[in-house]
Amino acid sequence: MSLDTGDRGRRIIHAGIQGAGCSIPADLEGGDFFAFIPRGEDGLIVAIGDVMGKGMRAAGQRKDLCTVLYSCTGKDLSLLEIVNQLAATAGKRLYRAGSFATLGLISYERQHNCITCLSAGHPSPVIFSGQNIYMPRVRGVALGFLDEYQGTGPEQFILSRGDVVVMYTDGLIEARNAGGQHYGLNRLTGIVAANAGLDAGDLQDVILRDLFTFTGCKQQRDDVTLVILKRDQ
Amino acid sequence: MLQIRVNKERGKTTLVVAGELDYSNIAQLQEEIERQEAPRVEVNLKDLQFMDSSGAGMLLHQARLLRSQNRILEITHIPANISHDLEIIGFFRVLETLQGAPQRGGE
Repeated sequence: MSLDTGDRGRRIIHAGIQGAGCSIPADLEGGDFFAFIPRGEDGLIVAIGDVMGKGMRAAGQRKDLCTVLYSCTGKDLSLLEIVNQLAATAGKRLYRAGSFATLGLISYERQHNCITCLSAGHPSPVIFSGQNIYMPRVRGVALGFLDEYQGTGPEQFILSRGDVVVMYTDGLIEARNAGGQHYGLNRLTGIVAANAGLDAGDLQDVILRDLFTFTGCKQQRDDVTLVILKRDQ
Repeated sequence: MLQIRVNKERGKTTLVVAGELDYSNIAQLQEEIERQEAPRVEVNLKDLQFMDSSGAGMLLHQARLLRSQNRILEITHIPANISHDLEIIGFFRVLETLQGAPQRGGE
């Protein structure tokens, strides 16, 4: 049975990739977001981000950033060109507002089964390939801090059938239980590794259930966002 | 809960910050930084247990403001777990840029 995440969850099957995403705001509205953006029949861009702060102000800045993101991905631009355009437009507005946003980007091309990763201040995705766990070393300054994007170049990885990619915001691994302990990256990777055979949506449900078990459904002080990608078997 | 201890010396003020710095209480530290008139303000985080993105954004914003006044905001003794999160968002790269670049005006 699927976990009911209301309008906070979204699922997609495109270009041979299953995608499942969910964002749970700490307040009524939050600064976290994710997006699945198809590019033709054989391509997919996946974005995850976190605008500083909470509530309506963060939500307004998130919407502005997403508008620019969708506009950029509608053109035939590389991930680096997309993040540069975001830095030059939405990033500048964040700067003026004394705010910033982290952004993780992945593009997938079915022709080569290749994912390309880029980060602007966002935690690296985690790739589960067979028994191996791999974290691309992509690093970059969050949008809104500097005039232009600065960071490592994109990194690529060939996905085999059944490989899983996990993207998340810091609110997930910093979620706390009643004792004040963090959920943590180790617990996240452990539960993904143990359930990597599941479909993307089911895997996301398992992770969220584990998170809610851990936190005892205690109100969290940061938005929690989780995105699962899985190459079809 | 956020606690700030203020130590004033000649030409420098140190704010020793303890507890948790997040969206709910960043104004408290921001006001304390803004209250200082010394050319050098150190924010010592040795007793800080947690800082969220709002805290990081506020500190960089204050670092920029002091820089525009030809003053310096130093952020020191950052605990390892907080330093790791700051590294990911590019916090230290921005501080380096602020220290190296001429001040920005008008923004």
